[in-house]
Amino acid sequence: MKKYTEQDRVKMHSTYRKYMDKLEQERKEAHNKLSPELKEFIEDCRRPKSEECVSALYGDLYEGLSSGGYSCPSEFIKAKAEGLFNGWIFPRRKDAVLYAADQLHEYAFAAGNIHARSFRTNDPKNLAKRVMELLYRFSEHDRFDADIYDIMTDNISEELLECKYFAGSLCVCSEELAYEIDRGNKRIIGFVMDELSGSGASFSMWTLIEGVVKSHSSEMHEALGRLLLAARLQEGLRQSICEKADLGTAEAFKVIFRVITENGLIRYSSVKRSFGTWLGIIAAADEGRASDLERISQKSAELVNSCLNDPVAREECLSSEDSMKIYIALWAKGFYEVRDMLDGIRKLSKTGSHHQLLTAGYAALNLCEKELQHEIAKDIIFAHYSEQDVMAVYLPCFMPGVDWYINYVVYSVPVSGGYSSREMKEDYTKRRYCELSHYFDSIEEGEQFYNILMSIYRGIKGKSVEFSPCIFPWNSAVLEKGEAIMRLAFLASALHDNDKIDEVAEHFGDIGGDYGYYNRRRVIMLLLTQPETDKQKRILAEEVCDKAEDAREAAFKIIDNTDIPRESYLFLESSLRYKNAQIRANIIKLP
Amino acid sequence: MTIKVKLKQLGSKREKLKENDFYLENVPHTVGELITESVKTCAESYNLRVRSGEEAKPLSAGDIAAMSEIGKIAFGINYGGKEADISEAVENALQAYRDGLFCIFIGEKRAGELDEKIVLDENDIVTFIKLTMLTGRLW
Repeated sequence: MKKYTEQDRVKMHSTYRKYMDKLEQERKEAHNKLSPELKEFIEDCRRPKSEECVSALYGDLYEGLSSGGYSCPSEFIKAKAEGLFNGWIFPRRKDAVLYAADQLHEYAFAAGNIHARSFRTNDPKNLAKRVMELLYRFSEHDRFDADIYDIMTDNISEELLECKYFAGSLCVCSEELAYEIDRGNKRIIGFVMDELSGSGASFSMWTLIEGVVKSHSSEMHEALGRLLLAARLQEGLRQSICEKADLGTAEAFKVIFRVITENGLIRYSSVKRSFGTWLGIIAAADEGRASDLERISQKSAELVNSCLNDPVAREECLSSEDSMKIYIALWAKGFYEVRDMLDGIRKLSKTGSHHQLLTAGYAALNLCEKELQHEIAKDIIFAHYSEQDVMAVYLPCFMPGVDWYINYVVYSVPVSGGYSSREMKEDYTKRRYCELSHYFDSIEEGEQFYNILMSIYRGIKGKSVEFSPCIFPWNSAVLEKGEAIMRLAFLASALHDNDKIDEVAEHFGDIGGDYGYYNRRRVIMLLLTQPETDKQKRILAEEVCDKAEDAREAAFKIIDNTDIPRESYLFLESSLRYKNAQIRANIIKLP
Repeated sequence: MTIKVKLKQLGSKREKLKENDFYLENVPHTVGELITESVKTCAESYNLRVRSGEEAKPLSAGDIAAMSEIGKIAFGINYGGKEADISEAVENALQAYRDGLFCIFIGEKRAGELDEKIVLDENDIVTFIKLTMLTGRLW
């Protein structure tokens, strides 16, 4: 590869910036020519998967996939989103995009980050969001309007060449490469095979590996497996292949995994780390710790191999009492279809042992999809809320992100996110309420879970109860009162029930933990803005003297905008004796 | 038999590599046997130190400076009191050789595969060179 001097890089940087500015301008112009529906749809395409989509076209896509109105995502794109190929996405990429959209259910849905797990699904909601993410990626990351073969072989203009080497990547989507491989593009196939048979030091290796694992070419998968075996001292190459191995098709992963098990490659730390990430046995924070890699062995690799390839072995492992066997069996189900994994957890909930149910909870925590976590946790909590260790494991999956949702509500920012701190509006003149439909289907369900959560809360002695070890020797689970109160606060607000608000407000002091003080502020703003009962007014006055500064500040601002009874003023007057200067200063400021 | 193993001399300014006497219980006839015998010698020596319960000796400034060259300053004591499993150590070393983590030079000639025949005489010079894994991801 050519070596660049500092002077070269300065020139390349300038070329790259000019090119990117030009590209951005062209894409903006293409965007401006789109219909309002497509513009709204693009806003949804930009959102992270965790945020809710609001556009009409998203609704059309989701409904169409759910009802069978669209047999595949490409039908939707052809019918309703073809306008996107006016330059917002390069027109030459259209066939690749349509093809890739129909393969998405074969790729792992949680890929591309340190929390990625190797799960797949045909679920319409998940698929709809991934279609939008695919469209966005083809617009944002596909930067060179040229044939992918020309880009890979440097058969492009000087300008694009400088941009390519400055950016340090091909700047194309791997789905484009997978499409060309699958349609039998001989030039591309020949080039990729040459690269895989060579030293593995290609400039485009990252995209190459991703494109190969997303393709359906068994010949390419085997070549990649041979490259993995030939890596020897190139731990970096091994890491690159293993990190990408699970984000494509199941067949590609199984070829790579077969090479790993047949040749004992689990002895390499990069393979172990990848293995731990695929399975979710090593959390992101633990990836560097050698002791945590000891959780993985050749035996666990053989177990995975067996569960992936033999449905009978999978069911046998699921029926055992060995935590690792149960967990890997559930993981293997989710590897093909995550809904089968959820059904496995439900079955263990009904007919399995206590230990099996707990182990299934570890699998639920690794789902990487909040809606799926909430769905399964609802069933488990409903059936097993009297078992504290089960609650400790499953409660984090139940109503995940409730603290952030409450944040959106109290600061009047879109639930779909994408706001800046400047847009956060505190309004103490009007109480805002949570939407029950964010987590629950009906008022009856909301009431039911309120009672369940209150029962869980009352069963906890002290602030929290810890179970350690839990399921695995390295794992522990904690059931905290604060977590229960946050969820109760959501329900009390969403049900518009002052009795429930009074009940929850009594226990604000239990909201603690790393973000406890921020959460306490949010909950005070949610439940006590414009207090409606005497109890709420009394608690509001007490909160002006809260230990946490954020909570005190919120309470003070609410009181400043509220009429409170005489008794509350008397209480505040008595609080002037406190040492904390801010409490006294705030109380004196009140009219 | 006794061979000479070339070792890196920590802290020495004049002679970076020095030959040290190294005892092999059995005469090796292949590369694999050479590795096996070498590992057995080292493991048995290590286990002897564990059994004798050696105490920490103070480190001089020179010792510390020398060890800092290799990136680890230690008393070299096994605090766990656990002896090395010789068969496991041998298997590990053979696998490491197959993986290319180290190579062996007998005299000036590089040794080949594990089953390659070798002829070792008394006081022959053998050098073990550790190779570094190329870490870091590609593009």
